[in-house]
This record gives sequence, structure tokens and C-alpha cells, in this order.
Amino acid sequence: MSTAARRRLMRDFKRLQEDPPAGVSGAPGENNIMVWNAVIFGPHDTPFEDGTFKLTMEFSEEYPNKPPVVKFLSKMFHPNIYADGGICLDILQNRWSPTYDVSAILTSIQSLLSDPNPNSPANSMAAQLFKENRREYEKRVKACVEQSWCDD
Amino acid sequence: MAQANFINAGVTSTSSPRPSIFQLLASGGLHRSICPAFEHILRLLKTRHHSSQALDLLYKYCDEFWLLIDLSLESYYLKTYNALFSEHFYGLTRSFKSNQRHPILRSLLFSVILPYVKRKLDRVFESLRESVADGVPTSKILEFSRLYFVRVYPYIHMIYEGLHLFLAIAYTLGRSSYHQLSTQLAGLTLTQITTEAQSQFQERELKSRNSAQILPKIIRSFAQTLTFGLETGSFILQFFNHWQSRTEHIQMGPTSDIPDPPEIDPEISKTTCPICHGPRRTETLLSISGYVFCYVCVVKYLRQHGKCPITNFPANEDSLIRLYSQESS
Ligand SMILES: [Zn+2]
Repeated sequence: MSTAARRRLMRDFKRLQEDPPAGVSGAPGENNIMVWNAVIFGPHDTPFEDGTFKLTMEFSEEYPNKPPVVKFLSKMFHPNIYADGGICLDILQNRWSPTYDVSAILTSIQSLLSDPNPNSPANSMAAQLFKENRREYEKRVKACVEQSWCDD
Repeated sequence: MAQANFINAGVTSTSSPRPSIFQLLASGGLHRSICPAFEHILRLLKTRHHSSQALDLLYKYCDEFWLLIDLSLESYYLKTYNALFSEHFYGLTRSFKSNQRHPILRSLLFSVILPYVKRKLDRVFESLRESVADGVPTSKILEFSRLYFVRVYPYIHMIYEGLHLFLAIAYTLGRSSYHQLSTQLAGLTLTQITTEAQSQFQERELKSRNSAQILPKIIRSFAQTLTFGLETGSFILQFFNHWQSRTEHIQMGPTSDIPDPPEIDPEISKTTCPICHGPRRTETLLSISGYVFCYVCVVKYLRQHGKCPITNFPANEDSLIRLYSQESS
């Protein structure tokens, strides 16, 4: 069945393949275009470097008028990522605009990894370490990076 | 207690002078213009702070918020002055036949709740008319009732407005003691405030000030703040109207700051729609921000969110302009 949301997701996929942004990739699930799997590679010169973090994106029929639900499958240690993988990012909530596509969402999440916002913490432990004990923070992040290579 | 007062005041003031139709129309006009003013203020606030979710909510349910404010304000005025705010403002008071029960409730029902229902129906009609015109699909039964409503409602509206006009004319000619539908239905007449009633109002004002109950106190102080604001506001507005009509040839400065131009996203190419990212079909311009979309895409978004998809400026379907260019077919 072809709906506005599905047509738009096909376009998003086409754009992601033709003009792939650095360090992110994503594709719709095999039998459901409304659920995507994506991978974000940890940005260079950050403690997340070399990590391969897996995510799922669930779109509704109201996409792009409503944002998708995006969650990390890999275990993360980051001030704006909840323990269940949920992401606290303004453009995925109240500042969503229908002009964003999958590639824009993934690059925004990637830049969230390099620039956390400790003022709206989803993980208070990570936020506190990020502000007060950067070495311990980096150690915990490195542990997540190593774990991200193992889980499948 | 308040009801007994109400009836007494009605009986004692039956001999007071009959107000002129202009006084009545002016007070009715004020009554009707407060709600749109409230909506306008909300819209202005929303333009300034377009990411505030509280304001979004307030604006979305603006009719309901106004209903609550209006109910508390008017019940305070009815209890204290036997009149609506706008009527008291023009020196009028309501008098009931002594055999009528629940005068305050009747007044609220016909002067506050009835206009609210009418306003809501108007909005429903507006949105249904548009969805019929767009051919947005629904089920068979819904489709039928929608069409039926859209055909019948204009007649109901015509009868409603026609009755108002008829009553106003009948009142002017002295054939009717009611000048509008709400007073006719509530079975009350409006009269000028007499000095006798004036002193009674002051007594009641004092009494309510000295009462110890908390909730009425909150409502009263809220109503008084609003009253003060509206009264000063109305005077200032009248004064400015007068002043501006005298100095119309003098150019006034802009009353609000012009918002910054939105950042143009380089992703938005010359031929694709920013929402569906496909080639634009039925090119439509959103005049508030200047962006061009597919008609279907932008209408769907505006109905859900009531703002520009790119700049978040508040917008509705009225600011859409269909583009006819030679390049697009
Ligand atoms: Zn479109």
C-alpha cells in the first residue's frame, strides 16, 4: 500500500543511498518500511570514537508531520540518552519540523554524541560526570564503545 | 441569597427608564468583541514565542479557556450588579419578572454558554466545509452527515442572525421589550441603573469583600483584576479610537516588531516540497513565511499544527495562496 508516509520514507531511503552522510547509515526493515535499523559511528575526536551504535526508528503513518520514535539498541552512557535507549533531543520532540528526513535525524543524533547538553539530563549520572569528572565520564563511554563491537 | 437580591432589584426598578437601542447595541458589541480580543492577544503572544507548548495548548483550547474566564467574570457581575460586565460598563442592569427562578443561571446559560456553542458550531462548520471542498475521504455515514450539516447550517445561522435583527428593530419600534435573543430567552429586560440600585450594588460589593470563603474570594479578586484591566483597556481603546480618527493623516509607527526573516534551508530546492521531499503537486504558497508546498502536504500539516512547517509562525488555511506559474502544470 502506498501512503504519503511510505512514499516519503522511500524518498528518504533514496536520498540516504545517493548522498550518504558521513558516519551514519540506515535502512528500512526487510518486510516493514515503517521500522528502520540504523547505525551511527562514534564521531572522531570524541570519547565515542570507533563505536558502532545501533538504533531503531519507528515511523507512524503521520510521518513527516510527526517525528519517529528513535531508540538506541546499543547500551549508551550519555547525558541525554535514557537507560532504555530513548533520546532526549529537541528536534525529536517539540522542535520537530516536517522538513527533517532520516538523514537529518541521524546526523543530529550523531552531533548530540559529540556535544551533550548536560542541562537537560536524561542520565543524571552521565551529566554529573560530564560536568565534574571528565576522565571518569570518558572511561564509562569507552566501556560502551567496546561493548558496541560485541553486541549483535 | 443572591437570587433573592436579584429579584428584589428587578421588582424595584421596573419603573426605571428604558435604555435606547444604541446603548444596548454598544453593550452587546462590547460583549461580543471581548472573546475575539482574547484570541487575538493569544495569537500575538504565540507569534512572539512560537516554541512555547503552554501557549500552543492555550491557543488550541482558546474558546474553552475563555468560557471559564467568562463564566467566572459574568457570574461575579450578575451576583453583584445584576448585569453582564459589558452591560454594567454601559450603565445598564437586568431586571427579571419576579416569578422566574434561577435568574443568574438563566443569564449565564443564554448570554455565555449559548454564544460559546454558536462559536463552536461556526468553527465546526468552517472546517467541515473545507474538508467537503477538498474531498477528504471518510466513511459513508460520516460523509452523509457532513454534507447534510454543511447544507443546513447556513440556514440555521441565517435564522439566528435574522432573529437578532428582527428583535432589535421591534425594540426600536417599541413592539418588543427585548432587544436580543439572549435576553428574550432568559426572559429579562435591561434598564438604566437607578441611584437606588446603585447603593444596593455598593452594599453587595462590600458584603462580598468581607465574606470569609476562600473560593469566591479568589474568583472575586480575579474578576476584579480582569474588570480593572478591561475597564481601563476599554477607556484607553475608546480614547485611541477617537484620537486616531482625528489624526488619521499622521503616520503611526509599527505597533509590533517585525520578526527576523527565517533562515533559508539550502536543502529546500526550487522544485521539491519541503514536507514530502517530492516534486511539488498543486503548488501552494504559505503567505506568512513565503514557502511553497504541495497543497495536500501543507493543508494536512496546518490542520494538525496550526503553524508554518518551517518557521513555526502561527498560520491557518486562510493564508494559503494557489500558485499558477507557466513552469508548473
Ligand atoms: Zn509535498
